Amino acid sequence: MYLAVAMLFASATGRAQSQEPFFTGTVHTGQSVSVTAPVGPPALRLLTASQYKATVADIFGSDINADGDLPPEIRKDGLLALGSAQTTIAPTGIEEYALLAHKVAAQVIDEKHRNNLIGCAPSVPLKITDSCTKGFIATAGRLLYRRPLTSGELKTQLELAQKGAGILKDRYAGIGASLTNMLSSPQFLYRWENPRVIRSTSNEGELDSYSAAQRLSFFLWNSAPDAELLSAAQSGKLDTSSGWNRQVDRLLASPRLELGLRAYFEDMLGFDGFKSLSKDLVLYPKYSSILGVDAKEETLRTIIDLLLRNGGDYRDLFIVKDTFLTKRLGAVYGVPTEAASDTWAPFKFSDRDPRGAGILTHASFVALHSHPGRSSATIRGRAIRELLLCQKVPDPPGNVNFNLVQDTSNPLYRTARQRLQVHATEPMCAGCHKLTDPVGLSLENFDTIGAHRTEENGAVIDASGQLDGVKFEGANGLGKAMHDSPAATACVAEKLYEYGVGHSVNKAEREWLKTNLGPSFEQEGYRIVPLLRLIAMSPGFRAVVNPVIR
Amino acid sequence: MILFVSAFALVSPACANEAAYFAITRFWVAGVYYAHNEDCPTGKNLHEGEIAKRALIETGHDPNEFLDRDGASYSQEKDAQLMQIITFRGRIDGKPANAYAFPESVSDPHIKTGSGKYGYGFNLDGKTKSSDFIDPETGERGVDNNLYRVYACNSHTRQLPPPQQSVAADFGSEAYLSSYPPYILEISSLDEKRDDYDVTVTISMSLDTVVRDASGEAAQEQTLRVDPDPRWQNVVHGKMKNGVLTTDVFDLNLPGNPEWFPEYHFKQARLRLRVLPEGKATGILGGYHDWLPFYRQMAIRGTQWELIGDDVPGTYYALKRLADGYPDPGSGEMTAISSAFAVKAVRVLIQKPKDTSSREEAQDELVH
Repeated sequence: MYLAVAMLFASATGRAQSQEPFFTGTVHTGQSVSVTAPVGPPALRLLTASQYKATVADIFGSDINADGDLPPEIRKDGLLALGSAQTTIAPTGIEEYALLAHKVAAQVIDEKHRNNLIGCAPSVPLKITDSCTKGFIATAGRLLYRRPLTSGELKTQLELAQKGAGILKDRYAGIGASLTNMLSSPQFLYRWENPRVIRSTSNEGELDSYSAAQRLSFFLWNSAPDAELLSAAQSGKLDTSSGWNRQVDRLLASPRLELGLRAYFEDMLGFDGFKSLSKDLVLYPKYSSILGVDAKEETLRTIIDLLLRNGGDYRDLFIVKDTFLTKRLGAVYGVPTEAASDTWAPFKFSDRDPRGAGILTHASFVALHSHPGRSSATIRGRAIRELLLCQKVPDPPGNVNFNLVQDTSNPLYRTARQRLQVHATEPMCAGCHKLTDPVGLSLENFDTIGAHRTEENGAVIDASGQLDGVKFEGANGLGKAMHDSPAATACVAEKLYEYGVGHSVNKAEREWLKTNLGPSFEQEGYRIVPLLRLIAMSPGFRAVVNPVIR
Repeated sequence: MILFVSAFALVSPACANEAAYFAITRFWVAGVYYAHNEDCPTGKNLHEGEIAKRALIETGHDPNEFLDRDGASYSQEKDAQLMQIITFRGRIDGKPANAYAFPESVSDPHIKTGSGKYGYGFNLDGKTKSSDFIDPETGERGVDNNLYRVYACNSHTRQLPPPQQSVAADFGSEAYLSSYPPYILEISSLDEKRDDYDVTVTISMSLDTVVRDASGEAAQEQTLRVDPDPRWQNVVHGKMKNGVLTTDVFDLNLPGNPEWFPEYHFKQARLRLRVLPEGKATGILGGYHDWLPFYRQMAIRGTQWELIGDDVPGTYYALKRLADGYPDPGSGEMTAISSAFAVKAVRVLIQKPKDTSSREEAQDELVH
């Protein structure tokens, strides 16, 4: 009921907001200028589903259920984080966000949570102008909007809550109406990046403190700034080097960094693809949606264990033999697991084991980049090029004949290599397949769900491969080639940078990555936490350039 | 690197000539499907409702008062009364008695039992009688499987067209697999390239329930721990020939379903198992077993069985009548019944219990 009340006042809230700017500074329009510094435009990004949930959990507690049917996310230049700057909300999406906001607010005000989250009860039940209620709405609003509410915004929210309480005869319902309104607001749903100063000579400036705080927090924690970070922004401490450094180091030292890293690698490795992944269950009965969940988790645990807990070298992700398995994964890999029940346990593949390409031989990679009923060297090769080496592979033309490569029952071409060799003789196909197949064919010893095999249709599989002139044998060879490839480390640095700043790198930024960030990353032993720090401390992280205004 | 100390040792996947392990996922009384009911020439036993009707008549009640035309009870209240009447239809000294606790307080209804020419199992007594079965798989004559005869003409325990077993078997196996650990079968050496060689077979118990694959079967190559309880370690010599394992005669002791059948104790058991290339195995395990536990598993839920058409005191009499082994030294009455169980298994990996007599050694050992 208070959803309707909240929505009734939504437009009023918007009108009130437009009368009072919430950032200071002036924006100069100017002539078009060429950007020479490694800096990009500010972004306006929609919260991703995981950011929405993490923010609600951080503010209101992890037992608040924020699962909802949110609009699909867009991937741009390989990252959902970049696509979030292009996602729009359709009318049905507005409804979905409103329903989710109502769901969250209903839990916050329910009897189980209200005492802890809201606290005080006023002496007059329907009067909510008491300092306690005002304090709750102001505090919640600050955390939700990631900056203090303006006086106008606070006034509007209090009026809304009072009105809601009056109509619904329930003080908490009134508070719920305010919360629903704030959770539905663009101020919550979008990450606004507001430039503080734009120099007319260069169109360059920097983010205001709150915008910088949220850019940092979403980068490292995948969630909204906490109270301490917001206070640092409010007090001006974030505008000092020491203040900024202190907050960067605090966020890096927090256990919440694991959540941020998980969110990044989920994005970078395209794990949202598991939502629509299906396999031929007659041919591969071991596959299930539960296995898909386990496969993702195996890789994320491996990454966190290597890069975060052990401070390891990023390149070792392509050769690491230590992982974590459940019984289901052990059944797919054909290895005995320590798991007494269906729980996680560490596992190390032996030196003899052909799984020598680290995460590339995980089920999460080989299964995600395969067809439902067969493996795909081309898809796997393309995934390696695009996701891990930042090399674009064009889409196939619309009129390609796939019959030959899809016909797995052809006795003349029993292995994928044989089928692809014939397919790739087509002139329109050869160019791209030269990029993908020599890489992907080295993983052919792993079927479409990640189980190891030595034959296909009775023919021995040839898993030799090649990456940019380096020849190798099988997954072990691929792992070493990836480990030694400068493109792999350059790619993760570039993608992490883009993930943090919210836009694809421009020419100047690319040059800076090559001449500054790359060598620094190498000096730090290709460790991920120092790389995160380098990015957060980089000039481009807080700087912005205004788009050309004509 | 994480040190992991475990009382169990991982056993790597089998290569040729190494041990192979199977989880037994189906273990139920084996029967042959007769398309035209030739094994029950006088028809099948009573359907649901008919046992209730007979019990009402025998105890002087009007069936129309409790049952509609289809044999279902009219209401929940009538249902409760009906259960009482059926349960206490026995008579001891003229007084009502629990028919399941005291099956001989009910006169023998002479339920129909199976005949037929074919039946799975083994020639347990070494004799070939005209009433014995011929095993349809091996052609062995003199096969003794009287346990299946008891169930053959009941609608819920009757063998269905393959690959089904029976309603009770399919339901029971599914429920068991979901809730209880499977048996583990170890063959000491499995080598496709060899034939006609000796093996040691160990049948024991797992500590873990299985995870299922998309077909509902236990996922192959999952890891299961082996229960170290010495009561469930059954070791016997066997032979692999033409892809089929056959064991010597042995006594087999295994835990059952705590709810229905707490323990199995087969006497003069033997196993015949065909190992299939796709990581599966099927076969028959036969032997004598005390017949009374088979009755008890029905008596525990007496009316539930009877309301689906299985006469519980009738089964008691049939088991007793068809018992054909291990005569009681005093009374001479047979205490055991010949049986054969269908076995289906999938290949798994196992964790065996290590010798933990030296705790220090166990703690120092780096598993991986």
